[in-house]
Amino acid sequence: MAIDKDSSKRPANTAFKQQRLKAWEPILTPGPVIIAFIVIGIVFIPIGAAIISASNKVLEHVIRYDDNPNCQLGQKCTINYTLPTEMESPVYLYYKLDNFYQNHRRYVKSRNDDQLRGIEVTDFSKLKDCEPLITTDGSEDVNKILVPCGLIANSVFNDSISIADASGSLINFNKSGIAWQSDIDKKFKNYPANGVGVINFSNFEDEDFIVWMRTAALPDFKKLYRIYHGDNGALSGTIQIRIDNKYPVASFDGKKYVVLSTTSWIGGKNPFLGYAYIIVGIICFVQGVVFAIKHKISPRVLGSPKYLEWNK
Amino acid sequence: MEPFDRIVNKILKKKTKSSPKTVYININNNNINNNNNNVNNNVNNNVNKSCKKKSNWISTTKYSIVSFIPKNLFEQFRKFTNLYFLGILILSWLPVSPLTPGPSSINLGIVLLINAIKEGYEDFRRYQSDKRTNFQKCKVLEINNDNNNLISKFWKDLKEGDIVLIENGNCFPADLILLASSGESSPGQCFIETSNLDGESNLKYKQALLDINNKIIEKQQQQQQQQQKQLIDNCNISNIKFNEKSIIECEGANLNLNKFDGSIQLFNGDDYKTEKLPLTIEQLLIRGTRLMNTNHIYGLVVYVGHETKYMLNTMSTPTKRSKLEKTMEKILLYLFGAQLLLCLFSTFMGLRFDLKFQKGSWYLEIPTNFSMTTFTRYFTFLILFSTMIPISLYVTMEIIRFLQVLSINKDKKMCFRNSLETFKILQQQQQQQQQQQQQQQQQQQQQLQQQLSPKEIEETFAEARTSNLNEELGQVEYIFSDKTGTLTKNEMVFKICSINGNIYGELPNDNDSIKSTTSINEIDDIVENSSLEEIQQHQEEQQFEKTIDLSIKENLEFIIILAVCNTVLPTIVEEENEIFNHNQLKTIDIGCDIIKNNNDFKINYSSSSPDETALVEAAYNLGIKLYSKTPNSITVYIGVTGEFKTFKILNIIEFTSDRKRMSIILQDQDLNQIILYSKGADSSILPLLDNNENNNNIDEINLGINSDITNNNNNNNNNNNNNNNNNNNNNNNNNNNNNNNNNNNNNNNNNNNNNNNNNNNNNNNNNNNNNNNNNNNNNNNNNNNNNNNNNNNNNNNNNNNNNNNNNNNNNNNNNNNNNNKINNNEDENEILLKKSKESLKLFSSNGLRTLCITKRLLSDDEYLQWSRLYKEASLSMIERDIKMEMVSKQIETKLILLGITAIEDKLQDNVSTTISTLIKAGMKIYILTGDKVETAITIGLSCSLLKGLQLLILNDFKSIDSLLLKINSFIEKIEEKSSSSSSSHTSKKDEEEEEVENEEFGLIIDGSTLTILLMSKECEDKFYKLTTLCKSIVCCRVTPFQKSEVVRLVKDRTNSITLAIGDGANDVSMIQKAHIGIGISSGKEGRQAVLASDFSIAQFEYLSRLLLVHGRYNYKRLSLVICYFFFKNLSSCLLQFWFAINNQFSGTTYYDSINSMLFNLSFTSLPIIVVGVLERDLRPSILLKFPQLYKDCQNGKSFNHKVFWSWIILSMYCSAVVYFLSIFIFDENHSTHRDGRMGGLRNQSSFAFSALVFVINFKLIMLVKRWTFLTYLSFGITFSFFFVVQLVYSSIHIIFGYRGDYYHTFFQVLKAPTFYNSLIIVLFVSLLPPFTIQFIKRNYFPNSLDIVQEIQKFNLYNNNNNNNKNNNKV
Repeated sequence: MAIDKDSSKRPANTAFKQQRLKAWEPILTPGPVIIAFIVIGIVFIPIGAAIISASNKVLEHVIRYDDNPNCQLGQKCTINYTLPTEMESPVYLYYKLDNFYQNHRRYVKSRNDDQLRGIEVTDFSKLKDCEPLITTDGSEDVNKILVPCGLIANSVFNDSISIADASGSLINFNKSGIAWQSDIDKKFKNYPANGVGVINFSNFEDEDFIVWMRTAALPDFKKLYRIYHGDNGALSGTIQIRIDNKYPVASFDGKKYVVLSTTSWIGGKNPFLGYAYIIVGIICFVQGVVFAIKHKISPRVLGSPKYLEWNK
Repeated sequence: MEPFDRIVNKILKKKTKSSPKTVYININNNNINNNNNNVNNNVNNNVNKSCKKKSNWISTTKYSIVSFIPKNLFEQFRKFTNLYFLGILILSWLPVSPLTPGPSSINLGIVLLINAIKEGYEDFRRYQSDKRTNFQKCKVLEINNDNNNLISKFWKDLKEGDIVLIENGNCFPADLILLASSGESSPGQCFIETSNLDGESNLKYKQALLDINNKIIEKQQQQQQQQQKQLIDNCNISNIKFNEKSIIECEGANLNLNKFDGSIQLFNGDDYKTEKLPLTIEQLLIRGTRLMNTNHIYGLVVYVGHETKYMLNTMSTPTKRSKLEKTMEKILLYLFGAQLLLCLFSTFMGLRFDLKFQKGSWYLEIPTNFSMTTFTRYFTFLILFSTMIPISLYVTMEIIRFLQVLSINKDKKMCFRNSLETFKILQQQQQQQQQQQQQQQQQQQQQLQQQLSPKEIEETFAEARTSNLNEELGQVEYIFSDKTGTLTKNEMVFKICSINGNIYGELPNDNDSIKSTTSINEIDDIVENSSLEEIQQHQEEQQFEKTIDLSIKENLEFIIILAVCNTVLPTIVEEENEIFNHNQLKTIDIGCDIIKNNNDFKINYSSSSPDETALVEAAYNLGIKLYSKTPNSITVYIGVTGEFKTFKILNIIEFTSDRKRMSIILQDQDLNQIILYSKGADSSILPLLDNNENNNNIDEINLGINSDITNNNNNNNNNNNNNNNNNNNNNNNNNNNNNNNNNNNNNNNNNNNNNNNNNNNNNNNNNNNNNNNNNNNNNNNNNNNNNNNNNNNNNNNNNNNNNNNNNNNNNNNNNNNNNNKINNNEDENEILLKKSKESLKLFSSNGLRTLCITKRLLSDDEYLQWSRLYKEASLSMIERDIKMEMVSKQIETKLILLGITAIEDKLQDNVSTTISTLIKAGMKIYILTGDKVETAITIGLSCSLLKGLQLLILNDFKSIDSLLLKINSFIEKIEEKSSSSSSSHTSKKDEEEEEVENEEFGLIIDGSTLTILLMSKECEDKFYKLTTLCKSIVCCRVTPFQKSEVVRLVKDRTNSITLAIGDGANDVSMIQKAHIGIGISSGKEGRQAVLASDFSIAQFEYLSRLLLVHGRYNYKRLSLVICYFFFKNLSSCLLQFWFAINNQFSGTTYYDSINSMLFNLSFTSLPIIVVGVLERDLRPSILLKFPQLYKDCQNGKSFNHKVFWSWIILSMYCSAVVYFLSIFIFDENHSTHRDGRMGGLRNQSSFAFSALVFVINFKLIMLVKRWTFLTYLSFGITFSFFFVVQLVYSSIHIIFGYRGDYYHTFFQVLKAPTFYNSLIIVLFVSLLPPFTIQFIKRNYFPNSLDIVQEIQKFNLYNNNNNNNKNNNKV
């Protein structure tokens, strides 16, 4: 038998291969777990409270207008609304749609990003995403290409909303800043006015359009419409909401709202997160206390061999 | 895929079982055709046909360059998941797809690529080694009509019928028939080394047919004389003319390395032809072996390329797949079904929404052909939910297993350090010398031995030869173990012998057996009581004659037989210094100079059988030195007279495991006598003895292997258990007594306080041995000793003394009976035989391996008559084995028993602790051995397998019916016992425990009974039922086939995992049959078992670590990996499903394809790999202390339906939490940003996806029990990689086909403080419940694992042994 002196056959005595890596081997013993539960409870409840208070500071007014008898489809109307408290600027004006499925698969994919970047797209295979609205009549005629194509771009919300104070003079709500800057910078560019196709409108850099094109995740959604930067001081008292109602929603049981809202560090009014924190915190705390009591009353001896199944 | 492979293999195998073939010698065809056009046309045609068909090209590769891609792809797509994802990929290119097709193709591509690279690399390695082999050169004799030339050819160009010249040290390029050898030592002989084939490094010789050899050599010599210039080694056989009619007829190519049947007939031109001569394995040089110590040989190629026995044997063994993997695949199918249902449901829901909203939702312009949209939507969902099936599971598992194998292979705790072989031989010799000169030099020798500590150490590591079964090791329930070489060291030491009824030598040291059978506590007690000294004293008293007086004629003859009757090959070491240098070994033939200083030489013996080596070495130490051996003669140096004695070998009838004996027929040239010496197992020898025929029954009674008697015994047994001592029963024989004794032992062992009794037990044993053996006319054999001994024990246990007397009486009666019968023809031989049998029992009950040595004088006529028959049989082509055996039997009769040898084979280190650990771990151990029943029981006791068990013995049944009856009665008996114990539940706990211990049974069955048993299915069923009731099973006298049949018997009837462990070729079938095969790699019986095995370990003791530590770890790890994969994939899939509720089941994707691809590929993959390799819940040392923990794994607790479903439920819960919390927090009605902007779908899904990745990873964090820096690192890398990818992905607004859907999304999300708050709350809400459940379970409903973890954590295990200090701080 030959002696194998080949060193490669002898393994390097690494900790890895010998499974001797230094290791921390935690197990869930009652002490640390109880402490952790209680600590978490103590930390979470104030955080929850902070979030709720932030949310409570946010003033939000939601006014439905499509069911208002004065505001039938195709009519212009004015709704008087009294703000119970002052709204410090900035105040954000939203429109809100219910039961509108912007997240439907047919809808979400029905756009052409190149076209929206102001590029003339004539290749029908590339326009396929815009189905079912590629051309005006469904034929493959380059000149009949819809600009912009697709379901999203062709169902842009077109009610116009403006706010006036009690005296009837319009309050200056700004349009700029309602869309994400990244969208404005990179994703939307005006379509050439003499480009091919049937041009519905070519002003793709319009922020209302950009906001609409950013599809919502859920069927009930609101979209930012205008921002009041406080030119006339805080909003207060009665305001007139003037609406030009053009957008049909009744056919799919939709609802339309105007929303006025301020923000805080957590954004809009949403106490849910705060409640979640408080509930989790309380559960943790209670669990911690219960386990602690149980542990005090009848502690189980850790590692006692009498609990081993084969010793029972 | 499995059945397909099997069919292919079957077809292949059928082909290889080809019919006998005929090989024609290759002649340079051109010349022949020119010259002999008319003469031999027909023959030539035949020749051409046969030549064309096969070349010696071998290829072990699976693929070629051309076929690699298609074939590999085909192979890979036979995997269900891959095929499934191919289908998904094809769908995703269609417009129905909600995802962009690119990423999913990348995903599948990566999986396929990793696999292809691995396969390709392995195949390339194979190709390279093939190429090296194929392009080796060898010399081929080109036979022309006028002149023969030696030409050089590549191996691959060899053809059947070529004659090749092989020089010393070269390997054989194909299977060759040895035609002629340069034969320095004796004509026609050559030596080969077969280490490539079976790992045996000893030289074996092969023998050419002398007729042919001489013919060729003659020609050579003539030629030399003529030309007078050629040297011997440059011989040329150019003058030999082989006619193309020269043929070899032989059996078709097959796997059997030990058998070859054929015949050869040579035609030499027109003038000469040989008769048809038989070819056997003796003439076959197998490819892969190497020519040694022989200048050159000529060989005729018979099998080439893939027909060679080497290639047939290296054909891959069928791949085994683990139980876990099979279960996993089943679950995959369930998941697939579940997915289809989910898709159907979603499609239906989608249709409902379509119908509802079709008219009103003008902005969606929903088409009216619902059947079409529904149809396509089904496939949309199929793609959307395809992540339910984990695509990367197989790849990940393979990576993990590969790394796991590393840790098995490199485990230093499973590394066997062995001194060099030569040292071992030295030590053995020293031991033997010690035996010789014991009286004077005992102490000196011991010192010497200690000084001889080995300088060079050979390290043998465990080796996982397949990575498919890592986790299977964690679920073993049945262990089938070979004995010799597996449990024992297979270091045979000649211990004791009986010559003519006189016993020489000593029984094995009792100190050792105490150490091996008692636990540490007991040893402590022994030391305390200082009873060790007593034991030693007793030992000194018990002595047989130590030296064998060689002046007695019988003794001398006996020792000479030891030296002669074997197949050992002596090699002489010229100088003592070279003893370490094996390569320099050289065989020496008589007539060499070295003989002159005959006292200086050292001889090394090499043999495939350690027993034979031990016997020859024993003879050597007694001064009878086997000096040299040629095929026709044996020379022995006789130290007493100082002369050499040469025998002529007439025949050797070789050992086979069926015959269990070997014989040699010699001609003593001094006395001109023909003698047959035969040695073998007693069962095969005793019936053949000269005076035996009339007394068969008596013999069997004496040996206690008569079926009727066994029946009685067991009846008695029942009686005994009822405390009725059956004094009247004359047939109360040893087996029965054994049973009783073991009961008693059992009682002793139960009480920890009874250690003293055990000591006494041993003392008594010694006493009895002394008494009995000193009085040669004592009728008691060793079993009686045991009885006495144990009965003494009974005394200690306040059992009645009568037992003792009764037993003695019984035995006396028994013997009297025998004596009466024997009286009829009592003569010296009878007494001798009886004595021999007694010593046989004595030896075997001490765990020694016994062999009977017999001889028979043959008259010339008788021999001539027989040798003709023998030759005829050896020539026959059909059923040669059987015919040979029949003929052999004719001569092996009327043998005269000369004596008995006993060889000790010590147990390996820690065998008994290992076995008791494994038993504690819930494994059922079968020992399958070729030994006698008594030997097997002794070994079973000493390795604590049968310790404390009531033994049930099944042997020597003549019919199935009686066997069935017996088995049924055993079953009833055991069931009665268990029912009675359950009914007496009210009794005190202590008592009950004792009873329970009593009721455990050990079963012993022998080979002949197994043969009957295996004939009927019903019997097998019953037997299996019986084995389930017994604690351990020992099968004695089993053949290799029976070994595998026993494995099959159990494997077919249980879902449990079976493991077979063995070291020799006889274990191969068993190893391949069991779920897991383990080979002992430090064994002395070659590497065949290792080559056939799935894992190899160096020593039996490492088995417990391999199973309890590595097996358990790997099983738990892979279970976790599989569950975790299902969990994470299902979670990501369900997230899409929840979203579908909010989008009219229209099939919108929630997160985009890039994220969805990376989710599997990198966001959740690295930590689980690290955990799969490094995770462990307990340290190895603890696991070995608490082997009971293994039972959980056996029961499959880490991966079963309950576990699986709990993961599924968790997955539903977690994904629901992630989705619904995100839609409540990242609500479309509330801005998450201070600037009032709304996020939209992308922001929400980006958050939900991040939350999902965090939840999935934190779930794993919760589970990890062992945090190494690699674990930290893997999580660190994963999280940072996640953020990097999100950030990079968010900063790309246009690239290739991608149009920036995700542009800036993650930045926007990160800007909102809500993101961080929400992430934390999602994590807590989703993981708090499982965490709390985990905590409550472990603290208020702890299982053993939890407790042991605490024991480990607080280092309680030292106290645990004493069961005292349970109180510890919390």
